[in-house]
Amino acid sequence: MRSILAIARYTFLQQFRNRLYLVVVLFGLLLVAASLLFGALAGDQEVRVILDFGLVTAEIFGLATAVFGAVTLVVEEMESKTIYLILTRPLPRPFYVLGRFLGLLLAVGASMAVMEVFHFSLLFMKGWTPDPAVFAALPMMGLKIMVMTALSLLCSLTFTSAPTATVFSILFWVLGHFGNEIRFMADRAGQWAKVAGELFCAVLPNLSLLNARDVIDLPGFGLTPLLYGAGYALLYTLACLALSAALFSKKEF
Amino acid sequence: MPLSRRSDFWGWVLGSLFLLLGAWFISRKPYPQFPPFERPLMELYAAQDMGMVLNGARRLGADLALIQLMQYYGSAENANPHHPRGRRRKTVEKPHDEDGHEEHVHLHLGSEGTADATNRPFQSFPQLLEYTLRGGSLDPHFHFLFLFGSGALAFNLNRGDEAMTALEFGLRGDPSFWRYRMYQGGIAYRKIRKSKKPSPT
Repeated sequence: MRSILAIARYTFLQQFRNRLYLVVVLFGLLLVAASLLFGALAGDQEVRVILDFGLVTAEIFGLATAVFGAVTLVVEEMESKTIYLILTRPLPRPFYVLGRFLGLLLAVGASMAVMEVFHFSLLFMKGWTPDPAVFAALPMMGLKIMVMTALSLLCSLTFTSAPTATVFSILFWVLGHFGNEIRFMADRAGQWAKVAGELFCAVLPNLSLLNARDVIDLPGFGLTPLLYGAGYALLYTLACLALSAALFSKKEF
Repeated sequence: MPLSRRSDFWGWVLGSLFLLLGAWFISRKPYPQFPPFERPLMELYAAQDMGMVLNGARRLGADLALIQLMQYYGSAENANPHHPRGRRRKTVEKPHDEDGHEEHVHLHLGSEGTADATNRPFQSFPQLLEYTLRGGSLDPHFHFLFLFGSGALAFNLNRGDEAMTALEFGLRGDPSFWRYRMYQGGIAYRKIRKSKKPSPT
């Protein structure tokens, strides 16, 4: 356990020293501030626009730090051969994967937290009345990024190059939000297409299940679907990490 | 690969399959979500709308659609359906009055309220309904958008039928929202009142 925490701490610090990470966070903060401009254009709906714009910005920039961090995390260490320093110690390989994942997740979580603190300070400045549903949606955004971090890590271990892993991670992100539409189209295309569509959707991350920030106004939004979403995110992340551990245990250095 | 490492590998793979099965089982539970996005309603903004849907940002997409609707409704070029710089449907027909002469629309922004004085629907802002439906297709629970669009169509531009279409679209998204019904009643009452009004001789 201590070794996992040591690797997580090292990864967290490594991310903070990464210039790309800092630039992404800075741009995220700038874009959150730009939500004020969009809000001004929306007339009576100013607060709603600032709220939605800030939430989406924090999520997209969180995704960017997660994906770029995950695809370079292990690949860079393998290329620079610094991974030997760790793997020559009596450390089970899955522990290494788990430590790296937790460290990156903490770094991404910290960046999203900074953006959200800034975002909510802007909202309060504009006289926003706090809505518990919005606060309930925040952890779901974190869980969504957790799923994507695990998936990107899996992609980086599956594909040999960082650009390919990045492209596939983004593809999973897009398809993950399109699951509802894929099912809708497959339902209309016949019985076999329906089965194939369901199989495809089972493998893809169902990110619309974690998209609480988009459905806060919808009837039925409450604790139960949030708990289902959290359970889903946890199981899917563990599945990705288990597959990553399997791939990493097979790798020859 | 040594035997122990091979068994480790298959153990992890099997474990991940079980976890994935569990995740799939949970994902089948009912969860509040938007109806599937069938197609972008406006060619001009198709890429933007699809981008929003694919990034799971339909609410923000609807917000941007509202801003674009207000920009459209606030542009003088769009008030005149024949203005060279105005955005209009490709197949827009030039309106003619009873004598066959082309109708000249000189509607200035802020003067749409004068539409109340006549029964004739104004041809200005021909795409206002499309803009409203576009935002509504992204977020069917965006009440302000439907009320704004239908209100402008019915009470400023005398296009009650289009306003009713917008409200019906809104009602499909949220049948429990009572203000849609109230607006429908208001538009219907206005139509009946005008049809009963004796024509000036």
